[in-house]
Amino acid sequence: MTYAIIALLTVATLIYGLYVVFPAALKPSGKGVKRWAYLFGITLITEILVFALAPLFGWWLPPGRSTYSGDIDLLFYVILAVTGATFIGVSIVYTYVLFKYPSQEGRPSLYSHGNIKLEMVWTAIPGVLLFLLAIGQIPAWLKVKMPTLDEGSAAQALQVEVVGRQWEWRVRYPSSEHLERWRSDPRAALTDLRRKLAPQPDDVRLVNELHAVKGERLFIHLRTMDVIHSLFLPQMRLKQDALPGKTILAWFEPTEANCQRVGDTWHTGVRKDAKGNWVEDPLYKWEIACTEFCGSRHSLMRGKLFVHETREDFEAWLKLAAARQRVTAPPTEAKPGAGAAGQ
Amino acid sequence: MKGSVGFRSDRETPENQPVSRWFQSPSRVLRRVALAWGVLFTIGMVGCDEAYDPELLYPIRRDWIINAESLEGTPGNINPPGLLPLQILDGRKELLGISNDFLKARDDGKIVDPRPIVDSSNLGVELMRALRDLAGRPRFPKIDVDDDSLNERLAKELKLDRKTLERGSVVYRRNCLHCHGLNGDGKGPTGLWVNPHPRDFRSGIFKYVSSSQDEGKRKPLREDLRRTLTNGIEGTSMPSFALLPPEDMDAVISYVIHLSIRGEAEMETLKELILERGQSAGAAEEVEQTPIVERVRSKARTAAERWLEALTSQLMPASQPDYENDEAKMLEAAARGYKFFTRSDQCVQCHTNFGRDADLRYDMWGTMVRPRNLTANIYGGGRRPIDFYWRIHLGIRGSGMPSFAPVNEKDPAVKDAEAREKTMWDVVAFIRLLPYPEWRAKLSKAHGIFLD
Amino acid sequence: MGQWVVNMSENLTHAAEHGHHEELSFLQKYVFSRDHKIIGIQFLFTGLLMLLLGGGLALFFRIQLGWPGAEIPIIGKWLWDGPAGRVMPPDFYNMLFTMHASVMIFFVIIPLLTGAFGNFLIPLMIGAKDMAFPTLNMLSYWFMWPALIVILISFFVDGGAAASGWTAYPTIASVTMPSGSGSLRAPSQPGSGIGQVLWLLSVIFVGVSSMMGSVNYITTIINMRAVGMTMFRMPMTVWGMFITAILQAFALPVLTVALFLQLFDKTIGTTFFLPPSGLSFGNWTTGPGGGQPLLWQHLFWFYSHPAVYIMILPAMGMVSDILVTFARKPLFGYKPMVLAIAGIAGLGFIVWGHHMFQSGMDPRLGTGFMVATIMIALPSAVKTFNWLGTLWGGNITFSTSMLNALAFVSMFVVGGLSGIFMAATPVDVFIHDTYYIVAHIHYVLFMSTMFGIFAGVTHWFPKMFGRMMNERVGKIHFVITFIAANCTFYPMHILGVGGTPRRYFEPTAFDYLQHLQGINTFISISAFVMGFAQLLFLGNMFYSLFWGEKATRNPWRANTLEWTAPSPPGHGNFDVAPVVLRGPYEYSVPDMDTDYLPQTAEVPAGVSVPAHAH
Repeated sequence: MTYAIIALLTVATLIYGLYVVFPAALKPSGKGVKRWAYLFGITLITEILVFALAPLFGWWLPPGRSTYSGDIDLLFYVILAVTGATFIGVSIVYTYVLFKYPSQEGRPSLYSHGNIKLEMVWTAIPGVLLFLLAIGQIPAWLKVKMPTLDEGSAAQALQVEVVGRQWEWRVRYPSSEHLERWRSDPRAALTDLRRKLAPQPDDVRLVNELHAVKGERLFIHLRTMDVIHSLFLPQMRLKQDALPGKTILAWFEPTEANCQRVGDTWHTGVRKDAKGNWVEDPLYKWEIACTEFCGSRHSLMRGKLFVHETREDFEAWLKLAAARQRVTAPPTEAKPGAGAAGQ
Repeated sequence: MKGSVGFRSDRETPENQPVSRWFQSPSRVLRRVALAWGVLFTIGMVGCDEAYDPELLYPIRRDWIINAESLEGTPGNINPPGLLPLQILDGRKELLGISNDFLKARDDGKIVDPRPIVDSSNLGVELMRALRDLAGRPRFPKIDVDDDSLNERLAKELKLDRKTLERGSVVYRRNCLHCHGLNGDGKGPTGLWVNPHPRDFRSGIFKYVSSSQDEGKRKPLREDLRRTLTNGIEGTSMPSFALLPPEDMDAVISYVIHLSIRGEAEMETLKELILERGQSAGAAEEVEQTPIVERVRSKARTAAERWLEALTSQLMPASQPDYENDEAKMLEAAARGYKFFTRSDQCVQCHTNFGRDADLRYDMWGTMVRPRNLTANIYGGGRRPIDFYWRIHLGIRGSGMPSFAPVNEKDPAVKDAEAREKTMWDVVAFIRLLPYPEWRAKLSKAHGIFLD
Repeated sequence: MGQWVVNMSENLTHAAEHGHHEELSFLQKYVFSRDHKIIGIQFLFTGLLMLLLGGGLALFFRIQLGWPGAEIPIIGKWLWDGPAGRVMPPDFYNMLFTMHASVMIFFVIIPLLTGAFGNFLIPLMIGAKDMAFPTLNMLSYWFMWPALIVILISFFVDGGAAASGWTAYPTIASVTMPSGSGSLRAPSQPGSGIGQVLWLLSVIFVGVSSMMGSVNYITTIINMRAVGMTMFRMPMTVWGMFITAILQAFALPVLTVALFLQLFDKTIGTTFFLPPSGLSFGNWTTGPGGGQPLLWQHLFWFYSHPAVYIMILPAMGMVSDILVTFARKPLFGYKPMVLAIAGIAGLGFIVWGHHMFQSGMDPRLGTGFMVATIMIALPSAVKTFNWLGTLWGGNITFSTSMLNALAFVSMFVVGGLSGIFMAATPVDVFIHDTYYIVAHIHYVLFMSTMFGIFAGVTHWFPKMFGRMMNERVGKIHFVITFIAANCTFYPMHILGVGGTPRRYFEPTAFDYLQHLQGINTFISISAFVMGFAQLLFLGNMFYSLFWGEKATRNPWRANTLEWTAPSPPGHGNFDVAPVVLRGPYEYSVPDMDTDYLPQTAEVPAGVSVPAHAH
């Protein structure tokens, strides 16, 4: 279906541009010369339409599912509206100018060196608009990048350490017992947050997998062992570069869950519908990507994000994962290894 | 107002403007461009194949073969990116001072060169043909050992049927080829530039196995390979492939086994031919007692049987440790483990200073390894207690980590099977606590062990 | 001022009268020439040659993106037989996009805009005989050759050419093995070894060449203007070149320093970009460092952000002149245009951090950069409105160069507006390092600057070579390029909004990107059409060089000084030293017979013309 649309658009533009516009436009004067306006005009209209129609084909922002994805998306749409209106306005004027003012015998050009008043108007209005835009988004930026760190938020939140390396994400969760201790002693949670979650023997270690809980904040201590990587969670609108030699704190709070327990494994790609039943939905397969060039397998540092419906579900998973990592005999059935919780 | 349409080029092209006839009719040009674009577009959107070229063949082995169980010597330094230590035998001067021991090993016959065999007209051609009969080509892989019942078992139990292998070939080409190379030699374009280097499957030796077969015959179970693929190998460039669909995972495991069987058959046949040629020195043409194709098939059968045997030979611990949920017992076990570890004839021999000061050494694939720094909290073969148990019990073949000391009545730690088992679990406890400063402190306090 | 002007004019006429022409050998006249026109043409040809290389590299990696994992006919068998299995290795892909960007930025756009057009046009447009420092000028061209040779050699060294992106971020680019264990080889990836060192050396040479050029331009423009050519009677092209030269002069030293720091890190064991904790690449570990990877980003972007303005301001200037010439109308708002260029340049110095919003630098710092970046849209918007004002009410002739200039204007709007999304830091959280950025880059670099270059070459070809380029072929080239380039780069916005990351060898590995793969293939096909269409332009150029219609002095009937010189100008440029009487944009002056009034022409009786441009 999408291919058909692309094909249609291409062929249409080609036909119009090359078959109709051009031969006539090559004529030295007369009606044909107006046709250049059509080439530019059609191109600009197509570009506007592409942006306008892309969401209908699903070629658009992955739906945002975190507490600040709304802020980011709102800002995106505000800017889209402003720039879109500007683009449409400029395109209309531009096409009109090309249409109306091809060279004509007997019509003198407008002899004008400019118009200071007009200049002031079209400097002041965009200026004010842009300035308001700039100032208006500072709160959203600070909210995303400078979370408040206090005992209250630390006790409620989950913490995880993510170490990027060529070419995977090594993830380390504190054990359920450790989480217990945070609940009874918020100061310990804050200390761990500040001290970047020192390793413990009972930590649950995973590769290329992140687990979070709907409605609860997850703090990520982001590190890297070798080169700069960047943790990108598209649906959470999270992106943070991992810098060698530094541990950077990133966070997000999901607003929806996407994984369901089936036996002893968890499956993503599901969501709860209005009645509270789990339904399959490919838009709910959330992934982790690396967005800072890091070598051969930069495009293959793919991970999965599991957002659990409830804290209990998460802790059940955590306990199972911990138990799998403590086996002293091979598991009886073929299990896909410690921590990997299904597709 | 004159002159608005003034400049020359706006008029008709003058007759004498020398322009190619091809451009006299621009609309014709542009129509042809549009047509070409349309054709390109249609072809392009159809897409291309993601499998190997059907014409592509597995190349014959031409690199050095290591003909010994271990290689002596101490590397001068770690090999630089882009070069393998064995390349010193090809004259790479940058490696002088780094892997000089290989020069001696070659002179002693421990490293042999297959090129005289494979570059000679009839032997090389026959070997290629025999391997093609055995293993097919990258696009159409197979394992055919010329024994129907064995072939059937391979297809069923080891999943080496054609369909799985073909799918595995596609998965391998997409995910593994650029490191592990076309025939599994670990010398793909990226493989030379990572360290530790990717595994060379052609030797048939794998490090992280859990089968209880004899050391010289041990093969991994499909489960072992699956675990490696799922977890990756920490501390190396082998990433986790847990996100592969399960069918793709199964297929690529089959394909790796296929590459390994093919490579082992090739290597063993070449070793035999080189040995025979060496023994009947001076003869210009080899008198083959056995045809090459038979040799290849028999080596493949041996390897295949070992792979099949591994499937049912997983090592189960004879007993279970008692310290799992008991901190005091764990510390006691760790203390005993520490004592065994630091015995002068045991682990510290190689894991100097618990691995912090361990020296480089050569492994069976001609690359360099270092005994693991056990305080660094990085483990290639998995970090579950059972994984530690398997590594200690079975050793890590190829890297120089020996299997655990056998029963010896004179040694209290291993005087009988039960004591041996207990000692192993004690060492496991020690390893588990070693990387964590708080636990080292507890061990110090409880048992007077000074670890830092 | 008056006395100085009189002295200058005396000097000029003195030289013209005495006509000191020594006999120069062929080498001195055409190879090691110190004549700005020859040097400009040398830059032009070198730049166009490298355009073929840079474009070819891009088409190569578009094959992988359009048809991932496919076996490339002929090349697959030739380059990647053996262990590579006839598949493009990921490291090769990384090298391709790195070298594409490096070649295009450092060897195509900057030499073409500043080297070719700057050199050729500045003295002619301001009425000077040559540049202030002709020998320095020659050196600035010949310093490009070591850079070229080194970068071409880098393709053939062990490990291949540089592959860490044209941004060469540490630590992937800068890390190297400790000495004694294969230094000059990098544990992070093959291309970061010798290839990266050669890349650094090459760009250092380019930087030196540019710095020489910029000093020359600034001095020439300030000191060697003709009698009557005040700063506000200069054409916009010269203003563009002037401000660009200032940008180059102030920003390049920082880049050069950064390049040296990375070079030292790679060759003599310094640790400017190595963190104290060291790095670990499996068995290869570096020792402890004493530096900070983020330092490179600051230093690099301090240059590279003004660099992007260097890569567009000259084109903006040229486009202004071309639009005016073919609309037969004065420039709308000369002084605001000059102020806008200066504003873009000035603001351009304080916005480099917007490339680093997600890098881990303090978010409060990011806020400052964000405000400045958003404000930079303002002067660009002013310029766009002024261009529209210039066209309004004119008598537009759609010649090839005019068409290319018009494309510049409309496509720059797209590029500029997409930049606002990135300036907004929260939105940047999502679109940083996605194809949205790639789309923006190519809209301002290819769709704006390259069209500006096509326009400039076509427009000043008669002056450079004394022949006209073929209009028909030029228009065919324009139409195909315009449509194909839009088909190539506009869908990248969609890819970016969908979240497709940049520099991805394997776009199909992710579930959330699967539905966008068709767009990638579409882009690749369009890119091929666009790439091959450029052969039309090059063919037109080379054909016209020898068999083009002979050009008169002023085929476009334009006002600026270069059109009073012969086509091509001889040594010394002008027949008589020009005396400038007015601004450059007096077109369609009322009550005049002709619709243009050159800067040196006497005004007919009864016509009043302002003395200075507004």
